[in-house]
Amino acid sequence: MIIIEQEIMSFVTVLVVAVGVASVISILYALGIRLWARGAVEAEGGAHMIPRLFSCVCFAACIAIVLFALWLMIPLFHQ
Amino acid sequence: MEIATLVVVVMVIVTALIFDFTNGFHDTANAMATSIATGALKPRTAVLAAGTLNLIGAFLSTEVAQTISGGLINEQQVAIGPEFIFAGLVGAILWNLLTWLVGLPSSSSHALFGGLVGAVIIGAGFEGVNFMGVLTKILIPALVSVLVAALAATCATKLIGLVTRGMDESKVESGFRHGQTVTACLVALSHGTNDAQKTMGIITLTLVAAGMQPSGSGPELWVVAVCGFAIALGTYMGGWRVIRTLGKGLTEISTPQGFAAEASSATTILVSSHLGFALSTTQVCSGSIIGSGLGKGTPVNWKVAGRMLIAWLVTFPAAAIVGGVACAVTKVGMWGVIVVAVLAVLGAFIIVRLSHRNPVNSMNVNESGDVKINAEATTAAQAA
Repeated sequence: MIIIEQEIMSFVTVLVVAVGVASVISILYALGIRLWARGAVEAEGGAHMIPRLFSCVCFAACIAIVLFALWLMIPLFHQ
Repeated sequence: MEIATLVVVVMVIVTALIFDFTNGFHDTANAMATSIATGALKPRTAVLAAGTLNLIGAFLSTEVAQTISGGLINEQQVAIGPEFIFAGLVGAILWNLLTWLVGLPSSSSHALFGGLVGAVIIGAGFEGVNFMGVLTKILIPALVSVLVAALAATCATKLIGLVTRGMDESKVESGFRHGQTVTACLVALSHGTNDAQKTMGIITLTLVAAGMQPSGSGPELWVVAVCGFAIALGTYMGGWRVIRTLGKGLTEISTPQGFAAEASSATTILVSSHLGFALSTTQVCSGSIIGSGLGKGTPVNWKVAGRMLIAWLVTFPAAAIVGGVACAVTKVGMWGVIVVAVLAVLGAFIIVRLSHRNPVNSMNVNESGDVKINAEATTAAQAA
């Protein structure tokens, strides 16, 4: 019974973390794309620096998550 | 050393490598099916990338398990001899090929454990098998992994839809192309770090059991290299039939959905393997593709999904039956092993011949959503 309880606990953890991380990275990437498009330079030459800056922040956060995933994946890094 | 032992050890190594090949072959679809279906990567480029990442993954992670069966078999009571491993591998290989023929993704590790358990039941009786382990490590994760991945992908797809609402469709589509490629590559790499290890473990533990390698030592470099190359070659060959089912058969996928599916697969696999909760990559990836369809509201082909579910539930017992029969024959001795090997090669040959009737390859993988064994029906439909 204890084994089953542990299994349920780790199942819930996997569920919460997986849904959370997948949602966060999706929002970040989608937001990055949206802000990047908003930050496009206009024909008259007016640029939107702030959306473009925040877009870069979003993409940087995505890259950081991917690097963390690589760190988790490769045992060499955390032994 | 007895010549018979040597023959068996060589047989185990060869079949383990063939299993490794079919494993890569079968699982290319997990990482790359969505990227191929959306056109984010060209089919040939996708399998080349996946193959390379599997090879790199194999070298990155060489920490092999202490036990072959991962707790499914009471290894203190039953010594898993090379003939059990051989019979188990034969069961797993044949099941992998059969599911590839009908284009269904199925878990290679479930096939392997099923084959081993079947061999042990015939070879040593029911008390050799830890049925609690089968329940908590195979049956429950099989159902759980689909739910987790599907839920994660549904949420991710819905959120992407919300954030990009009202945007130019083509801009979104091309923007997510890069993200989809990166997440697919992560899944391919994690496959290499996980699955190549299993074969390394089998070969190393067989060598230890035969007294050719000191107990407790890690895999030799040549073992790492051949396992890495076998899985990479299998991945590069691409199980196009499975790729078609996952990429086109379940639901129509756009790049944001592909991104959501691969990101959910990668996180689910990483989180679960970090918590020691063994989920099957195949089931996770299929679950997230279904989830991405649900999140977007594109129709999901439940007939295909149902067939997949049946294949997953049948994988373990089916491989167990083949493994058990193979084990019964190998009990005869060296000749039994040779007979099983010949029959397995014959079976594999027939399956490959059957696949030629209606081949699926990098050229026609995206043409339709279903994989048929006989070509007549599709050509008739095309003519009409």
